Amino acid sequence: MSSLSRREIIILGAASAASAAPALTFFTARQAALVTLIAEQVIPADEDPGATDAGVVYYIDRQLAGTLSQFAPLYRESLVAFEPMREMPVGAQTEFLKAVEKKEHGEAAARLFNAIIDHTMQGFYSAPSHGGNRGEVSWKMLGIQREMGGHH
Amino acid sequence: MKLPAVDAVIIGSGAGGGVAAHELSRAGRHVVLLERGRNQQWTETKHDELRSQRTTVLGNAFGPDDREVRLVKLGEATAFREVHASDGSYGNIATCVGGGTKSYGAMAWRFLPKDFQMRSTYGAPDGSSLEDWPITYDELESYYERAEYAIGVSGQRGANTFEGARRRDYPMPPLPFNKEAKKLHAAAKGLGLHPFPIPMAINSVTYDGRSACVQCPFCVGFACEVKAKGSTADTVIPKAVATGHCELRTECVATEIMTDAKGRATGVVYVRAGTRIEQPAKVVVVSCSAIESARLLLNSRSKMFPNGLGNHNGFVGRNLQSHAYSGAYGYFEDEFWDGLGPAACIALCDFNHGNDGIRGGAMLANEFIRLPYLFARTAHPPKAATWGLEHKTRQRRFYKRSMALQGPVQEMPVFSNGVELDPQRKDSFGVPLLRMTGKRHEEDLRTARFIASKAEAILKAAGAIETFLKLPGSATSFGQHQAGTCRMGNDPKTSVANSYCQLHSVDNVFVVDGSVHVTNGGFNPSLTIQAVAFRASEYIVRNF
Repeated sequence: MSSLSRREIIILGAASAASAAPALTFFTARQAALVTLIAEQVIPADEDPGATDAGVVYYIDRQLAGTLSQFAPLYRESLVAFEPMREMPVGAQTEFLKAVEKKEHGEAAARLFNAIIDHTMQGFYSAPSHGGNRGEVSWKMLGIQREMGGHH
Repeated sequence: MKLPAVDAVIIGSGAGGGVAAHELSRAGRHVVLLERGRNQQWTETKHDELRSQRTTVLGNAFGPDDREVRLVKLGEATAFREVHASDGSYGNIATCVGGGTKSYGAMAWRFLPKDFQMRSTYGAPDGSSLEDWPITYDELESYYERAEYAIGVSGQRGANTFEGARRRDYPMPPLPFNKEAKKLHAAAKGLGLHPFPIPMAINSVTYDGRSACVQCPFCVGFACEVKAKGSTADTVIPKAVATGHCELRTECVATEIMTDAKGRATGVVYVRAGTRIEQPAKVVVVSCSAIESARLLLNSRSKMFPNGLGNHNGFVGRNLQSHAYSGAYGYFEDEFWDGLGPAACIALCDFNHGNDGIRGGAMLANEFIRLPYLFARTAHPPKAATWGLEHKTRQRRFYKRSMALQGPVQEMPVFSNGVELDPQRKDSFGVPLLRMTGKRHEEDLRTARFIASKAEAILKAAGAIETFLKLPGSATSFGQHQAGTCRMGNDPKTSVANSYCQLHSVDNVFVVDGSVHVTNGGFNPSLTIQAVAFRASEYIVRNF
């Protein structure tokens, strides 16, 4: 893998902000940067944190090396289809993913994007102990932190 | 290894097996209760949305694990495909002490009188093997009562104007309505309907030494932290063990029922930690749920029963059914999510029967509390964007301003729906893999559309600004409500067991679980399984 672009270093930096970045176990840093871009499209930051802030890529990374390993080949083989996104502005990335969804970039890419949508939701909304939802950001957003976290 | 004989061996410690263990051991019979799973404690699973009985993306919280596979052909599929235990198509029911009742939502319904007489009420549609039960509601009433008191049910007597005669009140008052139930109550009343509190096997007050519900949001799909949920694991099974006559053996996988030359059962073969063990017994009670009970009988082949024990007519494994859940979601302007479990607390039975041109129907109830991942993946209009800002905005706006109303449409039994043994492949215990077929009858889909339209009308009356339907497809989803594979009946030609769950062709083998259900009612089936189990157990004690 080639070295990271300045842009990707910034993205990964944001993904690991505040606390020390968890070590990657499945993705290379370069793959993690690309998955982070896609996940941020799935749940973008606005006035509330998005997938990058929640550290969703670390949830996905951990699960692909464990419980969700059945998806590992799909990620390994098909992530390359998303390479063009790296240098696109955010709006163009959205359009690119809409085209992926319509299978304009092949069946496998559509299948992987579907998996990334699901895995992003899992990482964003589930307990931080699984590796995502850092700082319980999704629970804060929904106003259910008290009910979901710790106490019950 | 061959163990000393006991009076009865019960295979499976769920809703039915737990009751049988309790009744037989209380009567002084020496009982061995086999469970393939473990005696799970709350601390093992706690509150984890991704690993519950409802959301299994990180595996089944209550077993079995993904080493278990089945071959399924569902809906319009033309070939079998292999699925693992945490896949939705597998038809999983928990494998742990308590079975499905350890993590169920705990609705504790009595079927309505007509639910036992579906064929004589409606006639069988083409392509369906619809029949009446060999027992009536009235014959089962006192056993429902025993189940309600043994498991602990909260409810309001007389509130359901459609239910059959009830001799005795519920043991506990109902759980309180939450905010959405109050809205629904007013709306349904306004439409001339008859809403009431759902009977729940959840303690509304301290009962039988167990705590009252603390209304935490982790209810359906989770073990109860305070044991307020009436699981057999926390009620009848510990009592059975306390008699000194019941031995609970966990992580024991039954592979075969042994028979003698005359075709009577002599006991059970099971595997524990790689060792094959024979447990002789005078009576064998099969309580593994509809799919695995059929599998065990089909795998118990002998000279007398070349096609499986009790399978003299080819009915074992046939007529597998469940429920075609259908209903509607509604989005609202105002916020009413209050974070209180179980949340499902209001229902109505106006559409179970008497629907013009429809055979049967379903009760309608508000949905259990919505946790955020499942909400994100399911509670959106069918054509809405599933990702991006639209998704996020929707979550923020409607997570606390939505509700769902749905019901279990009772399915028309179809003979070709069911399980059979794969001729080649076996699991790690040496038991043939199951092939499972399930395609819903067109009638089910029609009834489901009717029920969904009624749910939608109520949500609109409650003030929903947007509604969308939740409709089943043609692929049957078996899971927790699986039933029908060893149907009971008076005619040995068209049924597997008699009304006491006793196999027609083997007098000392009983199937005590949803397998014997002829039809599955428009309700969650656990209390009916238990009522039938009380009746069967009484018969066993009297005759063995």
